[in-house]
Amino acid sequence: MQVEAIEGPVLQTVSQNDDAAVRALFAEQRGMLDVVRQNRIWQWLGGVPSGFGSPSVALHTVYLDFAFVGLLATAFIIAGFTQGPVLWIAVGLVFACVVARLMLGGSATKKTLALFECGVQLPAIVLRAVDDEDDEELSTVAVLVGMNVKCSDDLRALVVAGGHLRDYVGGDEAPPLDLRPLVASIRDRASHDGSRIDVPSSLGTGYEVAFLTLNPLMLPGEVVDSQLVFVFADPACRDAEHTRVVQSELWGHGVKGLCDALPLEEVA
Amino acid sequence: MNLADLRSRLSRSEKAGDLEKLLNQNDDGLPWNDFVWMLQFPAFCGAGIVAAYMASAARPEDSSPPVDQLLALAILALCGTAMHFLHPLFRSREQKLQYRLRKKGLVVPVALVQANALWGHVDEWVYGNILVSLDPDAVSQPNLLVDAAKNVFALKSIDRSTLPKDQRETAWNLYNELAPVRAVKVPDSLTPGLSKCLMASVLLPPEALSEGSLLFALALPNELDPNAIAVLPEASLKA
Repeated sequence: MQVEAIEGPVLQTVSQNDDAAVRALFAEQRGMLDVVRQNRIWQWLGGVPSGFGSPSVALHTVYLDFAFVGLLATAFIIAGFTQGPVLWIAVGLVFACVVARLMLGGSATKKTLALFECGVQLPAIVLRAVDDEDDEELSTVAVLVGMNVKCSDDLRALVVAGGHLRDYVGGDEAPPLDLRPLVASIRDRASHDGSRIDVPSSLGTGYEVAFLTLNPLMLPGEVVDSQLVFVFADPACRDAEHTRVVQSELWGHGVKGLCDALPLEEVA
Repeated sequence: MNLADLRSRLSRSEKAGDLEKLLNQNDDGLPWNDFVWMLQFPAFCGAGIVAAYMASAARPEDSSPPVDQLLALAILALCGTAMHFLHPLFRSREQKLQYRLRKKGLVVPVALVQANALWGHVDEWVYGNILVSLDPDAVSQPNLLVDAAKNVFALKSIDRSTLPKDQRETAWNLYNELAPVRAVKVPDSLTPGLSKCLMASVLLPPEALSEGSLLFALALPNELDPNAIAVLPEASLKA
């Protein structure tokens, strides 16, 4: 358990200039993740499995569970009439359901739990946000993630770097040569699958850009109205599904004030 | 409130199979124990079909019944019997604990420490923190429990670094508001006149069974799991 969170202060409003409060907020976030892990209350992180093919995977595993029960019941009845090939086909289907269930659900569950065990919360600055084409309740966003933000100076530097990159992406400023490919990839990105890409060091060190699809209801204001969000990510893996936004209740107390102090103008 | 009478009402309700619904004890997973219990019927049905087929196909000149059909009959009957008796083994850990709570839980008075802001405004079960005590004085002097709950709630707005070490975990638990989590032991310094108090995060029914400021819950002694405590709804009185 995070001792620094247990012994921390009561946070009301966190200012980006208040180093002690920013550090306490980060400690509180780590403490909350510890509570989630110790009590295995994965619903706070989206449930298991989530991502990695879900929700279709979760739905298919339920179908397979029902198919298993139905086929087993059928096999019992068939066994009353014949012990020949028809019975063996039914028994084979029962085993096929079990194997398919283990292969389908097991993999997504394993990957989700691995992410939940090692994920951390990181501050990120919104670069681009548009409504999702397939689901109007969702938003697709590109964010600049600070992988090594530990204090208020780091956070302010992230906000400044994110502001510059957002201007380049929005076309307000011409990007420097080395950032042009990055800016183009953010503008043209079609898939917002929870993956991350590297950022040239000219913008700052320890930054990555993540492409996410999020439900704004998970944000403190329930709309994408702040530059600042916190993402839950596996720092060691940039692959799809390894970066996501979790419920803002896990971002810590006082975070709403911090987000409100960094309002987002039109960035689509 | 006569706690012994209430416990016997709940036992009757459990026997009638109503208590699980009354306590809103839903498990997220599929009810595998129910599935296994139901599967005994097709198994016995299959056994009955084999027996009927054997009886109808029997001829006076047969020296013995066919071995393969006898074997099928035995296997199907065994499967059905096993499913009938062994289905409780397929309960999840949470279901087992909830079952123990319904069967053996003690009715105890509890005091509310904090609740989700929606409690009382929506017709839904919402999470809250309660203070539980198995101390007999909690029944005879209910004010002790209510005052102790106020002491505990006051920790929420205090800088935890300034608190005595034994109160910090309780304060952190209250402050982070995450649920459902394991109950924490509350230091005796916060509960004057009472001992062995726990702060638990539980689902609160829309209309809880109450008497003055006290609520009532079923609790398993010495268990910290969130499934080991359930606040009783008002409908328990009608059970």
